[in-house]
Amino acid sequence: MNSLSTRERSKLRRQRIGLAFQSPELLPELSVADNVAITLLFDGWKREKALAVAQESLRRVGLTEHGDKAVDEISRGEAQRVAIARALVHPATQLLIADEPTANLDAQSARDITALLVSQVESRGHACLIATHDMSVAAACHRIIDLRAPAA
Amino acid sequence: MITLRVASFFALSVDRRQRWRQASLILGGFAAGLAVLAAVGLMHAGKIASDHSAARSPAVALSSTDDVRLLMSARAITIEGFGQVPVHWLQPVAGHDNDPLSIPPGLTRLPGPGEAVLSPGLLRAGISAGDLGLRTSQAGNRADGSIGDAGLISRSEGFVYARPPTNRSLGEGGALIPLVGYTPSQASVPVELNPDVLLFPAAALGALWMLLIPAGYLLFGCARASSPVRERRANLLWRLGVSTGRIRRLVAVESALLVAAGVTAALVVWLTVGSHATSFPLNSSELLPGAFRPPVWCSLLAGLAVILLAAIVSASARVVPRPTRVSGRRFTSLHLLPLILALIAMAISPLISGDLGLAVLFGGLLLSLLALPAVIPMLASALAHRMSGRSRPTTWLAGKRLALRAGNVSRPAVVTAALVFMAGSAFALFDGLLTAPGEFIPDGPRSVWSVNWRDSKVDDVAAIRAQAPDEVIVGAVSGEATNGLDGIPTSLGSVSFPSCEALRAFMDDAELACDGSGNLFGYQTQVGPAASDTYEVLVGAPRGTDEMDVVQLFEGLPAVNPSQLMGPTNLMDPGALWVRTGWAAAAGLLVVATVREIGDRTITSLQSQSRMLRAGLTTREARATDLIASLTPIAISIPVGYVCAVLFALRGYGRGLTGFNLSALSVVCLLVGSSAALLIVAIHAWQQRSDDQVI
Repeated sequence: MNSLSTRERSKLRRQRIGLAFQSPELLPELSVADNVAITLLFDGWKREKALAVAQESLRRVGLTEHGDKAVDEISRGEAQRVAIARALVHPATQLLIADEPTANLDAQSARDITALLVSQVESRGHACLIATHDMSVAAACHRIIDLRAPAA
Repeated sequence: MITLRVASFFALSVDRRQRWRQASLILGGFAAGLAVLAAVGLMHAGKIASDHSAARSPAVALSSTDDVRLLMSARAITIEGFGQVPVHWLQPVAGHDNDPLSIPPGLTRLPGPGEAVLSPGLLRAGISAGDLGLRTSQAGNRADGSIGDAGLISRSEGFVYARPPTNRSLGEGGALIPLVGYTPSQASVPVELNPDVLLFPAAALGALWMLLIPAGYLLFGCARASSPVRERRANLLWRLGVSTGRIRRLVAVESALLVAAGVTAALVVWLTVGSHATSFPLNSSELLPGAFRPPVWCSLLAGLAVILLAAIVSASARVVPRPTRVSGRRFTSLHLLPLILALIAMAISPLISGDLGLAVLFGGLLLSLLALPAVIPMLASALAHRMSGRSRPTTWLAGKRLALRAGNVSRPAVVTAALVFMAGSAFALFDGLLTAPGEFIPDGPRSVWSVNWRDSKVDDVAAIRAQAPDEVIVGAVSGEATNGLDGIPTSLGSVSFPSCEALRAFMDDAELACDGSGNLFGYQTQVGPAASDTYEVLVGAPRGTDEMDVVQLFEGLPAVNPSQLMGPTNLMDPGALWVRTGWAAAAGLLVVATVREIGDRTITSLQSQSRMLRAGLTTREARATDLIASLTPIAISIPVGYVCAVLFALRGYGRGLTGFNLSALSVVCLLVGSSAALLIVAIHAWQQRSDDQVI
């Protein structure tokens, strides 16, 4: 990584690594589909193609009907699903990094989002790195590293 | 009480993120407060000048039953730096020499025969009664014998009272005005020609245009200064169940407390220093002592108004999140209506004669300035929707961002439009007042004046010629003007020169015909003696000769009245200097407002860029998107301000008020507008000077 230029690192990050945060961090000026397609558009994809791929990504997270909605028309749990759809929209994505993706959600939504994350990365064959305080989320992962524990 | 306590807690927060809002409100309150106090001071100075002007305007005897105390001939001399200086020739009617009503304000008595009393402004410029062909009088009630403050509208103006010499009078008939004296009347002789201070109507207009509206722009921006802390706390209170109205009151009191600190400082500066000013930067005028100092209660009221306005504006902003969808403010073509009305008013103003036409022109100007906050966001929103369809992702996203927040994102552009408009219109007015009066006098190889006087005698022309140096040629005018069948004068009479050489030297033209077929300025040329009833001459002098030098040739003649026909002139309106001072004040306020608005934009940009980075954009893309969104309204604001300024200049030119030098006007507007754009780019660059980061 250190040998890459800034531009190459940016490109690598956008195409290979998906990011999901504690807060969905959607852009309020864009529709749900535009939010998902944004990285593709900035990668130079044709709009029609980018939106088609975004719709497919939304379908995978169960939000097929929500593409044309504004971001304040969907619930918080749905917004977090959109964030995951956005993180996984690029066909070249290999790694999903999620920082406390369920911290702001109620218990049921947290369970749904965790299941979604796991199913998505498993079905696509991606790696996923989740930072969480929620042991039920951690329990769904293949490997757990407790940062409080002393190094072995 | 609880509202005040919580508001104080908000206002005095030590959270660093609250400092921008605190600084904005305190410094904005100070600057806007000082501007509003200066506006009140300017209007007070205008009121004093108007009152003094009215007091020295003599009352005319309208009927035969009126007691005529004085005869007056109102003349003027153009003096460099003063424009046209009024010279009032007074001749008391027998028995009224020492009548108190015969004595103008600022004088202890009438000047003696052949004497003149000058204003202190003329004396200070090194001009004496001798320079006007008269003797110095000590009739003024100042220690140096010049006109006292009661008879002045400013300490720097040019003004003269003169009296015919012993063996002369003001004659009879013509423009001789019988006066009741210096007493309030409905029929008085207006004195002012080119006053060097603003009379009340001009002062009120100037205060509104150059101080109050720019101060309003600054204060409105400050009152809505962004603060994440305030927003978070307001949000928290709302979630805890505090009503929106109560939160608005809290915000209003918080703003009022902070602005009050700035306004209090402004009041201290104003009462101790500012209100005592009699002279101002970029302006040679000197006000009468105390003219700029309104009553203290006026100043306190003005300060209170600033605080209240800031509180109202703060409370009218969105204080809690809307429960409805984020659709952005809707802009319709109705938002254009005020500007369209303003432009129509300016456009039709030449069709309306007199002061009403002038009021319509300036009404259009003021309405344009007030309409900009509605127009620029509306146009930016319309352009943003077009940008949203572009394939280039930065332009597309910038368009989306701008479409959602056209009101907020356009705020620096609104101030920029005002700045461009203000610069263009002030430049046109300055140009017009400074140079336009002289545009009606054609340039030529020599300077030529038509000079007349009253109570002419047979030897007057010979005496004038005897005093004239060799290079100054005097032609004697005689005869009456004759009109053609269409009523247009075919000849103004004839002008006689002592010799053909003198005639040719007059215009420095060796080809001029000496056979009586020539024509000079509408006068038929002749070679021969002057007529015995001559009371008017043409004076030809080398280019650059001063009008005062010409007047000195007429020493001993009453009511000398020079009128320049050709050559370079000193004619200007000293009011132009007030436009320059006012523009400097307005520009200062608007530049501060622009920088402050850009500061606000920077804070919101940082928040939105962070969100764009998290969405997957690179730093470069996020910056470019933000810069395009910020500069698009600026790109709209410059032509809008420019069009308003050009229309004002064009229509003002039709009234002889403004200059219309389109190239210079365009350069001024472009410079001001591009400076604002560069400022935004520079602040963006400074804000984001850190290296590209990759999240």
